[in-house]
Amino acid sequence: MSPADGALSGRQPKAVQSALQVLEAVALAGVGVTAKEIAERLSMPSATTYRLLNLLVADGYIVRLPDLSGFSLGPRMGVLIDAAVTPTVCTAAREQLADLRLSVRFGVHLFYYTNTSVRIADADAEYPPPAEESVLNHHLYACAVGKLLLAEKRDPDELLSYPLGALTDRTMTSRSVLIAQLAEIRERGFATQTGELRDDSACVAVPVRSPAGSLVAAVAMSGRAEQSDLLRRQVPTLAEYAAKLGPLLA
Amino acid sequence: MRSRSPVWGLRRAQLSFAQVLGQSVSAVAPSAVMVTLPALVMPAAGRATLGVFVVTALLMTAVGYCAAQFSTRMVAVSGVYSYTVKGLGPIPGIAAGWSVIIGYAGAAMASTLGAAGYLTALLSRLGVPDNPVTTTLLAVLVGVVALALMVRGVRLSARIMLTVEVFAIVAASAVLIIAFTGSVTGGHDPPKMAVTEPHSALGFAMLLAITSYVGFESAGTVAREAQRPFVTVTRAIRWTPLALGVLYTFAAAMQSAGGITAGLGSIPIVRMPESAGAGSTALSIVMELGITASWFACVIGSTTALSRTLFAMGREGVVSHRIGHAHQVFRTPHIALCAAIPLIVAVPIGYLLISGSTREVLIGLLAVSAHGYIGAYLLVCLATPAFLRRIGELTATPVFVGLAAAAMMTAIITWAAFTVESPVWIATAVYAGLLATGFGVFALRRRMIPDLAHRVGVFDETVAGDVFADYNPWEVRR
Repeated sequence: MSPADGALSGRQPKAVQSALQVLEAVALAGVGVTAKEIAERLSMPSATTYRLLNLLVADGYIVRLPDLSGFSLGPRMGVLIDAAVTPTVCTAAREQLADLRLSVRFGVHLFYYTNTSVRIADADAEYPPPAEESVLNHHLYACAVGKLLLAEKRDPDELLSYPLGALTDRTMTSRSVLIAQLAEIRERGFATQTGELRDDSACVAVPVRSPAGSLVAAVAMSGRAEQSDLLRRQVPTLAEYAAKLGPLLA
Repeated sequence: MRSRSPVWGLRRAQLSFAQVLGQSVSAVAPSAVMVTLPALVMPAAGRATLGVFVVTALLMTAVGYCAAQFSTRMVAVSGVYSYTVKGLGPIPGIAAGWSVIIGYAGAAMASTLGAAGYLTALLSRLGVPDNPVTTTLLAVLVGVVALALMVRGVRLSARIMLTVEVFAIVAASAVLIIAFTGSVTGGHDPPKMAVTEPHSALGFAMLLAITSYVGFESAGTVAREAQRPFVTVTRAIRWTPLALGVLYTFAAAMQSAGGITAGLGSIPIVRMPESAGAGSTALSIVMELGITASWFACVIGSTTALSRTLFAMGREGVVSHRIGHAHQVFRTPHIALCAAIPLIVAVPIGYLLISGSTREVLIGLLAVSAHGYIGAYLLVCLATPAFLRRIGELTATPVFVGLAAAAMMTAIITWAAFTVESPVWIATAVYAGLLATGFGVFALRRRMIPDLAHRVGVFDETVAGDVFADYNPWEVRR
């Protein structure tokens, strides 16, 4: 291993700047730009450019196209972009949520999904959600909206780090139990949690899908732990609203 | 752009850097080499032995540099084969492909027999009869155990391979150190080697020393299954030859001090010097265990590389498409493995029953295998500048290193051809025959699949989902 791996200590600012310039050049040039074109555009020595491109490819910030000569931005850029965007909810969708809130005495929340996380888009001001966004994202396996996200993934382990930590006595910490529950969620089309996130809370969440069928958001209801059966009876209502919200959100 | 990788079916991100390195090192079987090869090279190279190992380490590092030009740019499942296709095109690529298959298969066959032979020697200490029947049964056992591990999952087999290899290297090093210190303190004169005109055979000694590094590039066959493949595979390919060079130079230095001589009996078992005294039996047992372990790791390492290369050929259509199937649950190329293992066990056993000498079979198989490796290395060195030119990333260093390494290898081969003993020509003929058969198969399959030449060289390429275009952040992708 080269010493640069663990101990960069900001002593090679030129290398970092050059790498970011290369990344920016790939982003601006669009799909299929070649290494030679980037070196020319940045007037950078070609050997340096090729090395930086290979480093960025190794980390997934950019990818080589199948012809091995063209480049494009890679999946790792999604992490940066996902972290930077904020959810915005259109008025028509807000009106639907307000309508639903009038009909029940539970917290009604709208969550958006990025590829790897849950974002609170519209929380109920009167009955706030049981945990903050960062808690939800660190414990996707303990909340209803998080379970919907996990159930959507072909390989849920990508979003989980084992061992799963317990927030309460009822948190699922066994991988096999979780995998079985995710299969059930996929089949039934909704997810629940009762006392798994906080001892006194229960939630139910229903997916909102784009016309193409991909998961884009969830409408969730939260209440007290002992109300879990009542919450479950709200699934048809939630599904009805989710169907209305789908075209408004995607 | 495709929506699915052409080598789908093998599980991604399974192997850590240590395990990828383990794959490279195990396929070389360094501890078996450490205790046998310097003893074979020494009579041919005389005082130049150390120099021979240093020079070949540098040459193999140059080959590693060439392979690394590819491994930083593509995630392969068939290593040198797909690298050569990308550089020189389908026909030289097929030559490299069959060459590495001959290389890996020969090494796996020799290792199976090596493991079975040393196990027989170990068991004979317990009173089990030392005869071909025992060796045959043990070879079958080795094959079955290796097959079961490799089918069950690449992570499991890699973990076991790494453990076994570490034990093997530690055991071999410990024995060499103890034997060396024993011979020095005992004040024995170094045994007189039958060195007659050592420099006349220097070319052959170089070629022998090169064969002690082959297999180090096999990390390129597990790239799809490695974590952060561009980094881990490249590192393994770059550093393995240097690390092996250090080990071999150390082993050669220990042995040229006269501690150990290779037995020229049935199998090249290293004999302890008399001065090691009462501990020598224990030392011999430790070393035999170490060598058995090394051979076993080499069976897994070589067969893993072989099965991935066959798997890629199956996907392309160069061999039957069935070979390109992966197990639904374990995600390993189980058909390729199940097809390869019976041959890997049967060939050396059949050869042994005919020839009767384990040593002769080992040397014969390893000689054919070495031909395959060296042919493939030569092609990959030539492919490097061609590949970089094609993708427009050519710089001066790879041109120089690639061409210099290819020139030096050609020179060594030619030099060795003049100094070589006659039996090696048989191995050359066998290699040529196998390669011709390979091309025959390719020609036949090409009639069935007209665009076969365009299909060769599959690797784990970027698919539509990995390219960051028309990105919608508010969406979950499967």
